[in-house]
Amino acid sequence: MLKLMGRAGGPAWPVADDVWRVCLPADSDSDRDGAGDEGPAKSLACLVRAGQPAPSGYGLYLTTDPETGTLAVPGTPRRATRGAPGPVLKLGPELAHLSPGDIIHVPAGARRVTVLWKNSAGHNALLLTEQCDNYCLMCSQPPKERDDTWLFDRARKVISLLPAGTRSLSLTGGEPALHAGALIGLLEHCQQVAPELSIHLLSNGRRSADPAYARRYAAVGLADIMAGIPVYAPEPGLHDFIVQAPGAFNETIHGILNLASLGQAVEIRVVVQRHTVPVLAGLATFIVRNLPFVAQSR
Amino acid sequence: MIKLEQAATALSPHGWQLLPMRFHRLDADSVVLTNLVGEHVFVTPDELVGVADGTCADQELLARLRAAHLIQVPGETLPAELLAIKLRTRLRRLADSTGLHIFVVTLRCEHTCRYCQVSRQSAAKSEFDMTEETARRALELAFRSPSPHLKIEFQGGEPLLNFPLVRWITAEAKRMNAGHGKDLAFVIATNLALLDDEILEFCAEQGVDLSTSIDGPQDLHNGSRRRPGRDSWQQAVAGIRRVQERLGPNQISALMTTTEASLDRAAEIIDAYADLGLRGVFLRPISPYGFALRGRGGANYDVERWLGFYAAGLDRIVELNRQAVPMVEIYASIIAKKMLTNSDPGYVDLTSPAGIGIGTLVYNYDGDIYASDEGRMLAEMGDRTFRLGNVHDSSYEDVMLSDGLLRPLTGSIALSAPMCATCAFESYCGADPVFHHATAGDFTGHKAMSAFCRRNMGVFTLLLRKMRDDPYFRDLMRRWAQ
Repeated sequence: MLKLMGRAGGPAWPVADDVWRVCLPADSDSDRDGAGDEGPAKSLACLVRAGQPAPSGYGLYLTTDPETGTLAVPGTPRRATRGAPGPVLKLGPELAHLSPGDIIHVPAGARRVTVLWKNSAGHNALLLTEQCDNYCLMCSQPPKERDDTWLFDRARKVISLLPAGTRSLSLTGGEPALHAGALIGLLEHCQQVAPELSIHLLSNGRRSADPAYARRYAAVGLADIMAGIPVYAPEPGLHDFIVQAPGAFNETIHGILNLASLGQAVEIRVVVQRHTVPVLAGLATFIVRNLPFVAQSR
Repeated sequence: MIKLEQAATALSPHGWQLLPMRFHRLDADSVVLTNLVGEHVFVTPDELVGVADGTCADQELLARLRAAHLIQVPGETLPAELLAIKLRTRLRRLADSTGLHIFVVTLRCEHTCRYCQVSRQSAAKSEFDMTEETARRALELAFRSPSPHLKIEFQGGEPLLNFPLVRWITAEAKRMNAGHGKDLAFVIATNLALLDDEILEFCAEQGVDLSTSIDGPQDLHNGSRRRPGRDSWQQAVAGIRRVQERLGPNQISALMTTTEASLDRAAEIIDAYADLGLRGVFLRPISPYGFALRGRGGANYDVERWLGFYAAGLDRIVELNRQAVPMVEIYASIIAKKMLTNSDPGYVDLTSPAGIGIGTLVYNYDGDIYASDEGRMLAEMGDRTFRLGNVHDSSYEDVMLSDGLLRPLTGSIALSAPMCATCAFESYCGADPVFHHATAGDFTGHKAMSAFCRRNMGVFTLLLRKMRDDPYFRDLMRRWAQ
């Protein structure tokens, strides 16, 4: 199983908190991200293998090569690796899987690296928030109250850096629509820089019960976006209990109806757990009769 | 940590309101409830009383009733909104009138079926043939229909006796469609005795389907369906096989007509269909029109006997399905769609308002326009109540906005008819203004004395009991509903 977080040795030159796409030296001509001859390629991190020269012009260099020395003790300055024309991050062995097209987050201090996008994976999901207005009994990501809107900014950068040929993207949380303005802005960004993407948005749909929000969502004009919305029971009593939020069922179904009447694709998601199993047949009947327009992600 | 206890979502006594609810007692201890759009739930009589008077404490039952939009919590708006959407969806087809256009291309026929509801004439008299001019005007009217789908059905007599006109109408309809872009379908209702290679090639090339009559095994079939040579069944079977070989199994279907002689032989009739590779059988009642009423066509059987026949036929079909023969009873499959989905298949004899005019129009060989096939048969008996005009001097508006159409249509809306309005099965049922006019003297009739009502109630209760008690049959109905 690939590790998506790993240790890194801090480079001698300060590296700001930023998001980088990994590339190889050989990709330099096609991969410059518009930098031209003007300076380090913005947001591209060059992966240098053992014995290879590191071409100039990148904002960051990555290596897992043990010959360049052990990992630096965090906080101590380290000389730039011989031949590297910029800051070098030495990655721990758990990050040896990094490849071109992967996107990483290097925070200030550069002690840990998070892999945000694994190019070789069929599906990648961007976490937009850990806040949520449902509290599902079986949630694998229980909500946190803290302000994490910076995750939207990070996601925006990832989307700007997506490698050529990226076909699909998942957006998840928490409940992304809790930050309606930021979410709409992010979707508009997608429409601008990556309109051909197939987007899957996981959401409880409750915000879409507000017709004004549903209209804003539809107005973004994405050609291929599907909202994956959970419905756990065919009536409010059990659904509201499972998501631990009174009124959730009514808002969710209203939201689904609003999205559908605006021609937006909706998928219904069901988690099989102790409380949903006895009502699965009744839920299927409810979907057939009341939400017959729903689709499934491909 | 649980913030919302499951007990907090329970409904307390008198904690719910009834949504539009109708019910019917199926047995001593079983009642079926239906909501405004026909979704059903089975309960006991005691449970029904508890739900109605607010004392029911069975939370699981109350949850099922909430899910089926039979009850709601005060202040909720979603159930009524969803019921409205479902009802609108069911009635959406009304905007897409008229889908089925029947062209009676000739009254000539070489059969002399005892129950024939058409005034057939012997094969020699060509003044009973439709002309191209009449057909053209009829097509012009047909293309005025808003429906995006037009099915043109050739009937008679025996339409193959005027095959040149069948060919002409098909070509002309396709030519006229260039300016409309509708989805066209063609079917010839024929006894197949006159099928030849030229006709088969035509059907293959032009995508024309065939529909024939198979009343059952040979003796039963030939007993009613007389022709010179006494070989109606053999001709039909040979024709079916030829069509299946040349066009494929989906291009030919068969209908049966029930007579007195059929009523004890349901299983044999089903088996005859299975042997012929026919995958659908339509167990129909006999209707009291034309020669059937006048003659000794076996119209004198009562509804109860027919229901026994229907039940036996359905049992045989279920048995075949258990043996992996995927036979469909078409009447039940139409009702299955109405019971289990929001779509109305638009079968003209089981819609409310009725399919007269808005579901089907009939253009007789002489250009007279009728609101339905039964309306035409009534005219043959001297009652022209359902004649809407003639293609040579009536415009589309003359036909569709006439009193002759609008009055019976109004009388055929079950939601506002006495007894139908409060019937648990109103969503599944239809109306038959022609039948009620012929038997009761008005378009709505008195349902307590209506054979149409008695027959349909019998079918609905039979199907519901089987769905309640037999999971295999319930699954079969679900499959048929798709």
